[in-house]
Amino acid sequence: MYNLLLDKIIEKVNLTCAEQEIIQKYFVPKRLKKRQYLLQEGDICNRLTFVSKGSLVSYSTDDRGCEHVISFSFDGCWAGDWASLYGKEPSSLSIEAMEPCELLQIRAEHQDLLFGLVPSYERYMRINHQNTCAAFQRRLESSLGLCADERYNRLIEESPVLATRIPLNLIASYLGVTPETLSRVRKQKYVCG
Amino acid sequence: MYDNVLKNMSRYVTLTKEEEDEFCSLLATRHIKKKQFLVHEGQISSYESYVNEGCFRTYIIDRNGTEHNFYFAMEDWWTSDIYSRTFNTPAFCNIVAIEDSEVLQITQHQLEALMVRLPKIEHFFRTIYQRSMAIHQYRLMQQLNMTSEERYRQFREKYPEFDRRIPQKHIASYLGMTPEFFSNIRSKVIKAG
Repeated sequence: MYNLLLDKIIEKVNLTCAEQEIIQKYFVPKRLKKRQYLLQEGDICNRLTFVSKGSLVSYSTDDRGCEHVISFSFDGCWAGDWASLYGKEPSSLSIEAMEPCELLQIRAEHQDLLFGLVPSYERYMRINHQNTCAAFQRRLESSLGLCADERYNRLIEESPVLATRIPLNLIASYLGVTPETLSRVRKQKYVCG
Repeated sequence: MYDNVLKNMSRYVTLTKEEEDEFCSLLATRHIKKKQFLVHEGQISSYESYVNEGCFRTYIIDRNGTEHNFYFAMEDWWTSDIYSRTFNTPAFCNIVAIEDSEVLQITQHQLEALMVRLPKIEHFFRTIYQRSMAIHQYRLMQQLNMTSEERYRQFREKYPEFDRRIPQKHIASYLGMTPEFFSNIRSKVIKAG
């Protein structure tokens, strides 16, 4: 259950066996069925969630009821409403399971304790957050500078897993295009090769 | 020269005099004139920069040659191409001075080594990135969910100094509007108070 979490951390930093045990103690397992919510808009997000198995989608809903995908989290990724988690404000996102999920959660205040106990864990999180900020920047660059087919190609290149596991309407929403546009882009890509 | 950056860091960490000196000894001061570049598209940029004086905008150029602003930074902000510096790849964006500016710079390489020696610095940057994740998430939602008027209202409220100092055409681009449309929205918002 904890293997993937520890593997991901050890990819970036060294951990002793004792440190691995401490880390495990702070994470609590949670299961979700497909389409169950991890977080609903308006709730306070007070836990970070690591996906051991399955996938989550984070989205916001506008005044007209349209949903806009902010991010996807697959096995080995983290999820949460960062603004709510770190600003202690009601969440403006909903997070839902796209597949049955096995998750590990840590409360924000427990994580602060863990940083003190295992400095390598803080180092891992710094690297993880830095990479997330870089990914957000790339997302902004793509949404502003690229057209629909370039955005789709880049997404599939960077995360091939998306193409096989995510419903097309969610990919369209993530890219900020209509499902019809995405369908045209895909047809062109796979017919022309 | 280093008073501001040390004050900025003291928000999240308490450094000893020796630690402050060690950090500052790694900072290089650079003066950048208005319209000069801090980061150039196509080049690898490995610096994290603290803005001591002045103001910058980060933008991308699309295939039609149109510029799209997506970040601003002024005194007491940190700015960089975080993607380029994290993954050591050529920048997609440009960062250019809007006013005559002064930055304090440290390379990613030096920063990584320093964080290993001084966990407090790690803690500081982990905290900064955590806040940046929340801001990015908010920025994406703003782009996806809000009307033009709401976007500008929030921008004014959150960043009054940007609103005062940055040329309107750049704010229009940041908010995803034409300068003419932005001008209408702006008068409307100011009139309404």
